[in-house]
Amino acid sequence: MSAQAYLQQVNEALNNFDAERISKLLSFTDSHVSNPRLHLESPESICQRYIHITSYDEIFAAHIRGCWAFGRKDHAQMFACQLAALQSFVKALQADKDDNWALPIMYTLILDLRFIAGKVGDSKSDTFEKAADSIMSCFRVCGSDGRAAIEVSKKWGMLFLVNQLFKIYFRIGKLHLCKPLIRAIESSSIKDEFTLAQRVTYKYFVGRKAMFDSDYKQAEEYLTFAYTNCHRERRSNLRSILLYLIPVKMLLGQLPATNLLESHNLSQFVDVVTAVRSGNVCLLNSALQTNEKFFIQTGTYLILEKLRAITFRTLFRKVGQILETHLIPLKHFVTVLQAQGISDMDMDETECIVAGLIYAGSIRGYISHQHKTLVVSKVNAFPSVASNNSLSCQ
Amino acid sequence: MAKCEANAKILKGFCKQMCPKNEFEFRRKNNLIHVLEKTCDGQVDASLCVKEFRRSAAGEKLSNPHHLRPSRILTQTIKYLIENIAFQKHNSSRLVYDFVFDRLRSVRQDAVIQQLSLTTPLVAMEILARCSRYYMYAHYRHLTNSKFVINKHINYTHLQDSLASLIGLYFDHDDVISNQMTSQHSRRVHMDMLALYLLINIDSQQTLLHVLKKVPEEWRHDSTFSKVIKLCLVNVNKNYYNMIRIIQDLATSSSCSGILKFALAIVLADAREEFLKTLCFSHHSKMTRFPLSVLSQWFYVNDVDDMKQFCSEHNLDLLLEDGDAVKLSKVQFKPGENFPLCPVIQQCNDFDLSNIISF
Repeated sequence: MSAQAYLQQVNEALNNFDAERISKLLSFTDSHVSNPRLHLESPESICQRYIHITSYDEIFAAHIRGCWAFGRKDHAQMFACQLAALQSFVKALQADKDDNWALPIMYTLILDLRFIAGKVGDSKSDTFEKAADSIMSCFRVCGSDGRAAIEVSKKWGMLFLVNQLFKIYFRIGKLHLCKPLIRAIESSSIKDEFTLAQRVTYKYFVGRKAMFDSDYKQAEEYLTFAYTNCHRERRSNLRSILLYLIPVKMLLGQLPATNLLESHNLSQFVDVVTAVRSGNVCLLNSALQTNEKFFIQTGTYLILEKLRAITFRTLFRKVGQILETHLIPLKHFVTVLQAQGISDMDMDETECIVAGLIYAGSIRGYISHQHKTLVVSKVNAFPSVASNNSLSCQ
Repeated sequence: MAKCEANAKILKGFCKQMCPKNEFEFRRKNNLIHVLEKTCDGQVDASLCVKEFRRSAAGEKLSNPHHLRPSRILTQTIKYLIENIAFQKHNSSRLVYDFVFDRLRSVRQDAVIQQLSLTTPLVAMEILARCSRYYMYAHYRHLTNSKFVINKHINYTHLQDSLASLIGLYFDHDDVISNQMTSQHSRRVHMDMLALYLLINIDSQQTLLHVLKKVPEEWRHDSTFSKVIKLCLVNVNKNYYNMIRIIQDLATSSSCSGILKFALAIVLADAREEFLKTLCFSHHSKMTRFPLSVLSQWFYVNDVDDMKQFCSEHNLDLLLEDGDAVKLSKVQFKPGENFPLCPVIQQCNDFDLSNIISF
């Protein structure tokens, strides 16, 4: 296909407001990008000749130049061109009053932009930042489309844009930038009317953010929504959600069944769950060490570290139950830890760990340092983790 | 016409002095030469002048290459400010601090305008590292010396910003930081700055995770760095006893730099505060009596008298019959106000401070 034929197709699609066709003609997943006759370094004049709709000549000029860069495998140049295409698109979008027909084009341009940014390389974080800035321009245009009737409003593009921005911010580690986006969506009147897929993605990211902010109840709520409503056949998405939902639920006192972990290929958690369930601190240490890389990569390492407190609590509760007394000598805790294979915890450190558990509300009682004894309440000395809110707020 | 240039044109300065000629002339004519830019007997000397920080304003062209100092001059300027000005004995420590802060800001400004982080990242790293260390020193000094008055919030913001930019540069150039050819000394500096970044953001899960993801594997085996990571991990579970043990280990170690010890002192102060609060809660009972000698050890305090003072500042009753003890009470406990000094940091005060900053 010659460049002229391609541009004629573009023109036809533009005249028909055929957003789907235009998206395809702009997409880097379409076969046209490999066509060497479209690998033109300076397509500005030919585009101006064939495309007469304002800004779209610039968009396609940038895209064709991007195809040229694609032919040379020059990802940096591809990115610059895609950025230019999107920036020109923003102008077109802004000028399109009371209409949202072009939103699918925006989706395609942004998805490709993110994909190309990934190819440029993770190490250059300002690539993603530039992409985010452009997406924010789209967000501002869509978010301020207040006067159009709801069927033609650009506000319908907002959740897609927010999800794309989330993906970038999580990748470059700038989670604090998510806050204004969350505020914008939460205050939107159509927040529950976006597609389910978009809402699942949104809740997944907001749930993860809540997890980082140590707001575990919120995290559980959002991640559970994402898990419950995620398409059953999207196994990798379900796994991604569970990766974070499981640790959050564990912190709130609910342990997952082993078959759930195995059916979703999350065997890294099996030993962690066993350790927490049985109060085995040594097993927890080794489980975290063995799969350290995996937990660090997925960002779950620190929340699993927090399970240490629950594990100690379960262990000490067992000791209390065995001794059947409310006056528990601290030395028994030291003995039991040594029996598990933990030799480097002395009486002082053990006393301080028990102190921490009391302060957090996991143990109801007090320590007598002179008698080296933990004096627990005769009623509900070790409240269940699920009922202990203060622990989940640490 | 859509522009697809990957890089905009990069400015290169060629001002060969610490202060551009036209600025010096303007300030001299208008009596705006700073007292620290004059000789001991109050004479104006062009070679002692340092370019001021200026905000961009209408008509002001900050990008004039004649007024921009290239990397070599910027490095010299910082060296001059730290070694000759920052720690000189002066009646007004505020005057000295404000001057150094402003002139360092101008150095950073020149570096940003010339995009040194793109053209000469190693120089950009050096500038950011030295500035960060100065801000850290000022932060610590302000907390421990009531006569050293600065705007704590602004200084701390600059500390956070410059450190974050520096760490961003390290991770953007992991070929530099994990390169076997990088000198031992440089690697030490990189690790130090990363450790400092972790310590001043010790409560941030995101920071710790980000660093754990990106840091080269070999660094995890470095004695000082691995202890700082351990400290951050132990902080996740608020195990104050263990935290103080690690801080004690680091503070008494010769391989731990002075600037890190400043940061450790601040972490220690916060840990002691929370630790005491926790113990007041957990040991609260009618007959509670906790020996001060044990508490002094647990809290890594110089001696029992310091521990008595610490407890009194938190409104706790001392029980001095039958051996020195304190009544740990959750009802009586009140948050403290003074910043308690770490025993080893007092020794730090004798260090050559400019050495701590200049590495």
